[in-house]
Amino acid sequence: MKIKLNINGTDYESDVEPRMLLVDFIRDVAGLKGTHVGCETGSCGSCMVLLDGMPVKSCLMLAVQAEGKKIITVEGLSGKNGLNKVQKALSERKALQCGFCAAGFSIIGTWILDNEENVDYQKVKEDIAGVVCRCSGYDQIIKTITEVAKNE
Amino acid sequence: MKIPPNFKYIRTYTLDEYYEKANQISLPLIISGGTVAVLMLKNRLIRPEAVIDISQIPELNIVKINKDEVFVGANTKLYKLKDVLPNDSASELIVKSASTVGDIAIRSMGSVGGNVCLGDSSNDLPVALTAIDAQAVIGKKDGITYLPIKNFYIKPFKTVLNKGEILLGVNYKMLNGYRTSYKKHFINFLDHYVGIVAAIAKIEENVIKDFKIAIGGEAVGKPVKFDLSEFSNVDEIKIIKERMFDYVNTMHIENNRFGTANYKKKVLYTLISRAIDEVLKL
Repeated sequence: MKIKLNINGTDYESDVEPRMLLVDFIRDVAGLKGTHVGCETGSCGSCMVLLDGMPVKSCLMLAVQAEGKKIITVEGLSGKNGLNKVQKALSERKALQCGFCAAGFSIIGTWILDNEENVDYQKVKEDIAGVVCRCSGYDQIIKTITEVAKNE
Repeated sequence: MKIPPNFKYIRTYTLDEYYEKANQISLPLIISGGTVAVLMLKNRLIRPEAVIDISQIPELNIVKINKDEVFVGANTKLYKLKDVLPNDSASELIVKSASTVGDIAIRSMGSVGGNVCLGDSSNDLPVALTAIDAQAVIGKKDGITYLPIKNFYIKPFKTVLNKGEILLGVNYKMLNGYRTSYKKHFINFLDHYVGIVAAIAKIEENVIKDFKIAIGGEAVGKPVKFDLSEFSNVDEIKIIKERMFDYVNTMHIENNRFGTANYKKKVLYTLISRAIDEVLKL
């Protein structure tokens, strides 16, 4: 089945099996390995991407469902000036350790920055509930995203 | 790496196209957002001949408000409900329940139709919709039928929908001046809700004018509604709670991997008690 997706501003057209998952399209067809495959059940959020501006778990979506949609992966968050504000803050404040979940937190953090109003610790805590970090704990991540959002 | 089995993928753009395709296929799987369906496919719990994507059918993507009636199309995303529903108490209860579904990345894909049609006792909307006496709007080739949500479920994962039929959306009457409460208890490692309680009550000068509670979750199976409008005084909280506890005691609740029947009953008591306090305490 032929599908066309726009990932990080680039069109990707490919003939795929209907059963191909969006995360596999992103990693194997588009070659963007920043989006990770973690739990494969939609719990860990390491496969999170923005689909038409909304966060989705790409392991819970078929590639054919994303036909004609605009997708932003963790690679698409950084611009000409390098990492975006959330990525930079997560890095500078050492909010992450092994980095496996970095894609998920960067995506959801960026979405919070662009969409949420009156951001506070509790709101960020609720919004990041779909991303799991198994090494550093969440406090520093939540504080970092909250501070970046408050300084916007 | 979990890979779904092979299937045909059919994207439908009109209801007529859907009715035609759904009747041709012996084992179709209908998806809108597809979050749970894709997970079930990946785990090979279902092996459909074809997956029919209904997300592009315009009639399912609308929310209509007509006088005091609200129609919410089946494709309406759960995260959108807070922005598109009116500001009445029935809608408030729906928004409360929808906002507790998964996380934002799940609610951005998950749809009203999916949450209602899956028939998983852990789903949130069926309990809230039962409490407000909502109706399922069912489309078929020769017309539309309306059915109270409480009659929509036969047993867990089994609804009254027949082959070729489709849930167009849900319909409910706006309610004003009500208090609402929505409570649930989650077992994280089993990924299941033991108990869910939705309550809605109208109180004027300490007098109960209308009071309904719906309970659901794994302990209960399909949602059950209780009309407690026979009580008129908010000071009767203790008696109301006892009445509800008696109801729960008479229910057939199984011992299984989600917990003993005794444990599940205690969870329900607690949730019911909290919900009653929230809507009746002044």
